[in-house]
Amino acid sequence: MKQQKKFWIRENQSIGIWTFLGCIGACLQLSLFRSSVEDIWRNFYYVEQYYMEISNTAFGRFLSYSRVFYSTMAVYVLILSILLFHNLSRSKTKEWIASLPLKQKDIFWYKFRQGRVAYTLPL
Amino acid sequence: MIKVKIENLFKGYGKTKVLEGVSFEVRKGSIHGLIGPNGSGKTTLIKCLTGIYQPDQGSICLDEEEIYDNPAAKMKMGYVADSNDYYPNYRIKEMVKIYEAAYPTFSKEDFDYYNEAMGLNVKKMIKQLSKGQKMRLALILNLAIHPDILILDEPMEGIDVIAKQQLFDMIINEVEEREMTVLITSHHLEEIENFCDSITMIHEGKLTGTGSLDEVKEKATKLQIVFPEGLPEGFAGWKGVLNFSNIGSIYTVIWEDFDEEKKELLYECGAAFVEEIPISLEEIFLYMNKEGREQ
Repeated sequence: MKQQKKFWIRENQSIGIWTFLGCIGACLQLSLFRSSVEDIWRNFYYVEQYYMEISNTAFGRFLSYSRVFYSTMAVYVLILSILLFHNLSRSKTKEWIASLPLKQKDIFWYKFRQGRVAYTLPL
Repeated sequence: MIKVKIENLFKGYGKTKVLEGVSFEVRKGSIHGLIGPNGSGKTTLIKCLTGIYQPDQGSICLDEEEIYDNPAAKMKMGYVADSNDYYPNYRIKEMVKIYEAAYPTFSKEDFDYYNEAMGLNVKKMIKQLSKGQKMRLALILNLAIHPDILILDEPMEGIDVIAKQQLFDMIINEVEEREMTVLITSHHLEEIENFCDSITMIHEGKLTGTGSLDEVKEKATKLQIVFPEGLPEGFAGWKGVLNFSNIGSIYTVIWEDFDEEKKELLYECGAAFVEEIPISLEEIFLYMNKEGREQ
C-alpha cells in the first residue's frame, strides 16, 4: 500500500495540473465567500483591531483579497516544492540527459524537468 | 587517424569489477562493432565512452580530449541508448527543441528530412510511441546533430526490417559524406559482420580481441578434415583446437592460430584431406568466448 502511494506521487503525471487547478478553484471560492474568509482571517491572526479599521476601505478589501490569494499560492508552492523534491530525490538522472554536452551542474536543470510535476512548467 | 582512444580502462560498481584494463582504438570514419555476451561490460563501456560514468582508472579520449564532464567533447557525440527514456509527457517537437538547445550543430531541417522517411507525428507525446518508434526518434535526433561520432547501444532492437534498412542507409550516408565514426553494439552478429569495418570483443570485462574484421577472423580458422581412420588420439586436447564436430569421417574443426606447420602435422597424423572454409563472426565469437569460459 505504501509502495503504491509512493508510485502514485511519483508517477501521476497530472498531479501538478490538478494541484494548480485546485488552488485556483480555492482562490475563487474563497474570494466569492469573502465574509467567511474575513472571519477565518480575523480569528487566525488575531488582528481584529487593525482589520476592523481598514476593512471598510478599498485598500482593506484589496489587502484581504491579496492575502487570500498569496496565502493560497504559498500553499500551492509549498505542495509543489514537496512533490518536486520528492521527485528529484527519487529520480535517477536519465542516461540521455547525462550524455548531453552539459556541465554536471547544468544537468540538474534537465533532471528537474524529468520530474512529472515539473512538466506543467513551460519548456 | 584515431578518433577514439581507450587506454587501460577500469570501471566497477562497489566491489564488482565490470571492466578490467580495456584498451582499444577506433579510427575516424570507420564503423566499429563492440560485441560480447550478456553482462560482459559492453553497456558500462558505452556509458564511460559517452561521459555518463566516470572511469575508475584509465582514459577515454575523443580527438585526444578526455570525455567525462567535457561538454566540448560531448558536443561531437551522438548517443542512442538501448532504452530511450525521454520525458514521457513531452511531445516530439518539444524534444526537438531540447536537442536544438543542447547541441548548436542540431539541424531542424535535417531532422524533418529524416523524419519524412520515418513518418513520426511530431505532435505525439513520447509516452504514446512504441519501443521501435522511440528508437527511430532517438536515431534521427542524434543524426540531426551531425555528430563526429555516433554511439549506438543495441540500436535496431524493436525496429522493423524496412525502417532498419532506411536507418542503416542514413548512417552509411553520414559516414560516407562526413566521415562520421560509428560505434555500435549488437547481439545480431550478422548485422555487425555486414555493417562494421572493425570490431572489439569483450568477455567478462576483459578484451578478447580487437582489430579489423579480417584481422579478427584470422585469429581462428575453420577447417574441413577427412580422417579415414578416425581422429588421432588426444585430438581434443591439441593446442588451438577450439571445437570440432563430425559427419562420418569428415570433421569440421575451429582452430585458433592455424598455420602450415599444423597442416603438415595433420597429414602426418592420418588426415587424407585438409581444407580451409569461410568462418563467420558468429562462430569466432561463440568459440573464442566458450574457450574463455572454460579456461
